Amino acid sequence: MGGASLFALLVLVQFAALTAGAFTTVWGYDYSLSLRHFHKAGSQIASSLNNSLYFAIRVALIGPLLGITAAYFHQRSRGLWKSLMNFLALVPFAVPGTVMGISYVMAFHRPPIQLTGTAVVIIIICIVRELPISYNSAKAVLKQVASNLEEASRDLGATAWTTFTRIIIPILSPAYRAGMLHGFIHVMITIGAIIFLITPRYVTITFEIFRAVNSGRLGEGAAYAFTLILFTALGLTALTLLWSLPRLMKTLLARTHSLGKDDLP
Amino acid sequence: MTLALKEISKTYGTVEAVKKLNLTIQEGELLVLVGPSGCGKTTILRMLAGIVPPDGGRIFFQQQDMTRWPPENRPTVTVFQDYALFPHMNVYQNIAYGLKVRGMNKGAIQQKIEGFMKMMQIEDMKERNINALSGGQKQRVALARAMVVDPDILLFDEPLSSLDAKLRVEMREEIRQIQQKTGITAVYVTHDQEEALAIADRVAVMNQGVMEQIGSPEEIYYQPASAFVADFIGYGNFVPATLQEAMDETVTLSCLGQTFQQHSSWLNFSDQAVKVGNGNVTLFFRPESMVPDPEGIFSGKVLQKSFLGASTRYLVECNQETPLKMDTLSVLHQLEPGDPFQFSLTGAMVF
Repeated sequence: MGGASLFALLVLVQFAALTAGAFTTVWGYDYSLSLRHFHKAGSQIASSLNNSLYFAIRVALIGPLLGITAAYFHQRSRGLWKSLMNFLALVPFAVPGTVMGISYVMAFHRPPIQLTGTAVVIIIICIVRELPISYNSAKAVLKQVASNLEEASRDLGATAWTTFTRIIIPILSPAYRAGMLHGFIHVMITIGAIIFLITPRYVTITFEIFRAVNSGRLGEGAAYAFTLILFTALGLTALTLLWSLPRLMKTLLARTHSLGKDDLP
Repeated sequence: MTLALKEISKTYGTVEAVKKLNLTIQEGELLVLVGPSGCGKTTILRMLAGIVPPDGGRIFFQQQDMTRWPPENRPTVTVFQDYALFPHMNVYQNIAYGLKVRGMNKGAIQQKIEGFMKMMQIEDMKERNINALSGGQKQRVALARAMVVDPDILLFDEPLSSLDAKLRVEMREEIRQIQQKTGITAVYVTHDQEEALAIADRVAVMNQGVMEQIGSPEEIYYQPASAFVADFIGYGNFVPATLQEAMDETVTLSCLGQTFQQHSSWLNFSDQAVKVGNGNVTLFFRPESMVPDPEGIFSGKVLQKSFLGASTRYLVECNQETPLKMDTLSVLHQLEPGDPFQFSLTGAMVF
């Protein structure tokens, strides 16, 4: 209990210090409130935030599909293929981000696959780095239940396609959700893997923080960081809401439906 | 004849799970496939369900070859060992699933399900989450889900193996009742020989991919076709014996240190046994065939006593490799460990 509250206090102090740094004139000397750091950073806050969100949302939505597909094929394959598949899916966990970044620069900077400098390569590296999360959660689900339930569904008269849409997809959706939320956060705050792949056009907010702090503009860095935290939280909320929207609609519809019924004699 | 398996075989790697097996299942009967694990009984069930394709042979349903039909087009529905209920659906949705994928409309589904939920006594747990059910309740939901689609044949894959002993007996009686009430054809796989005898119309005993014997529970118990069946179904004693003489009227035998003459109906010969005189044979008798009898010609000593309520099981030392098992009605005989006693045999079989 004591340890947990101490830890919570530490985190809160960090946030408080950051917020204070962002909204005061000079951190450590002049604590009068001011928005000067935000003004100084200017339009770069908006554009870098825009870039970060651009990557994070795409990776969050597309990434889990790759992880789940990999897990599905892992479940279906046998012998050597199975181990190889597992190894390939888990490698991104083990390799440091910067190492992977350099290897991507080297692999994709000339034809046949020339992607260095594009947004696509950044999205790809982020998706691959996020792969193990959705892969692992999907694998756990599939191992426990899916083949059994697939058989039960076919046995009860459902075609392979119906089984896929009504059983497999709903069962895997928690894995998609986990992959999506993790992916969003990780891409918002990532820097190591993409630092060598960023071009001036695609500067992310984490990169701006790095640059500001590196050149001694602590206040400006804090302003970027504050924006980053705020929008990561907002983005998470938005994605969670988006996720529960269909169910929410369904219950609402059912409620109005049953209300209508009750009116009848 | 509803179902017929002709020369069915299945091999997993180097293991022959099922070897050229022939089997017909009659309309409305409950056939139990019983055998030790790895005997091929579950493989047969999965081939009937269409989950596993056979390597050779054909399966006929009412004269139609259904060997290559996909599972969803088959007249069979399975009640799985671990129930395989869909965890993202509640009880009602689980039961409705089979009707829903058949395109039945909501009103008709609801009407149909009500009856089955009442029959299975689960009508008050419609909205319940699957994970909130006990083992017995899951079993009922699984059974309702299978029966609601009106299959021609119901397949049971060791459905009671994860329930505790008392509930297992209750559920098997219930399954038997429902099966008889609805007259549905059922194939039931189990490794529990007692369960097999209790609910079956016919029992098929399997061993290493081969059908050892098929018949009514009484036939299987009293006239086992092989030593394997005799040993697997119920309990029994095997003792070496010498057949001195086998005439039309009488037989003369030596076993358990005695030589004696009996009427020929005392001794049954299995199909495998060779009926010649002067041969060394293996004699088989059930624990209840041993009767304590002061005038009996055999003598033994009680090693151990297990009081089971209505009956008592004794282990009897008789100078054999293993002690003999003897069952008596508790009210008739009471012996204590260490007691020497005389007994007689009411009958035996030769393999």
